Amino acid sequence: MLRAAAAGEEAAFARLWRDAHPPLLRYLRVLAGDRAEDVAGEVWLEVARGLARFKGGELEFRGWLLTLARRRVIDMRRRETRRPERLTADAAELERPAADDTAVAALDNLSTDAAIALIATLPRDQAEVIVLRVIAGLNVGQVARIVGKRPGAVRVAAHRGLRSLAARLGQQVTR
Amino acid sequence: MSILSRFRSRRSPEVACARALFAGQRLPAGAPASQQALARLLRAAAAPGTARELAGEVAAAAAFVQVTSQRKPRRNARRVLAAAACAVAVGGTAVYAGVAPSPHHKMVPLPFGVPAHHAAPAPAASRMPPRRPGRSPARPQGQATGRKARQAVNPAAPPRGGGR
Repeated sequence: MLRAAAAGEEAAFARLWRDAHPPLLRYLRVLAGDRAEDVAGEVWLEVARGLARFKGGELEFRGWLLTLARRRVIDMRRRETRRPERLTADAAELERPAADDTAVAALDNLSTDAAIALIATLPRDQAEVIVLRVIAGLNVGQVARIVGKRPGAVRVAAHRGLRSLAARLGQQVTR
Repeated sequence: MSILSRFRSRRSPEVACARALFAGQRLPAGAPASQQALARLLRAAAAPGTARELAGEVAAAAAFVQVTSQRKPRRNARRVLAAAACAVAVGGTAVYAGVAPSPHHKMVPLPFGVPAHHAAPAPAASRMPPRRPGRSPARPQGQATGRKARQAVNPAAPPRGGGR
């Protein structure tokens, strides 16, 4: 499928997109919030431009895709730092959902969106590692390469994130 | 019991749960309710793509086609340019190696009075009249000097000293 897509076959690219877009979008929702769709579009354009030169299997492709996404988000944050668009300092807090609300929604509905929203309430490094490990299905080594940390640091961040999530959910379960 | 082993025994159920969660496996029996809730949460987060998430497939495929169709001509143009550069390099080398006749041969001016090597007749300006001994070097026909030359350039100009 990857080779066919790299050769320019539209149907193969569409299959690739169907497989890889949902994890990409969920990863970007954690990192970029409401701009996830825009960033995902830019990432897929970059993939279309560079796919002919890509070498590797499906797992490597997924790692490449998420690396491109991460770089885009970093670029976006740099642009925002240079030209801040937010009018008030409270806006950042208002955009971030409260952990209790999202935990209730996640337990009640068990919808994907609610689950992602709850994961997004974690500190950013923990949320990123959990999404890459659980949703994208990458191993510790790949996640470490993407986020630029050592495998041990990735394991620690993942366990801390899971513990925080379990604690939040446990509070809701016991209520 | 050492500190390390106590630490390991305290952490091992949690680590086992985490491993199972990351692998998408069922939690070990007797896992706390919070871990069970966490497992459900992570399963929901890793669920297959929803219709809303996959709504942009047609647009993505169209963008892919557009990008790849733009990429192909550029690659062809690059190949044509590379081929042209190779041809110029090979041609230039061949000329300097003497394989092909050099265009400079025709541009070298022939000395007066020496017949051209070419089979074609020489231009009229290069034909020389026979030299007479004791006189200045002959000029080709049609080349005047002094007053005649000035009159040839400007026929309306009066002759020097004789216009009165």
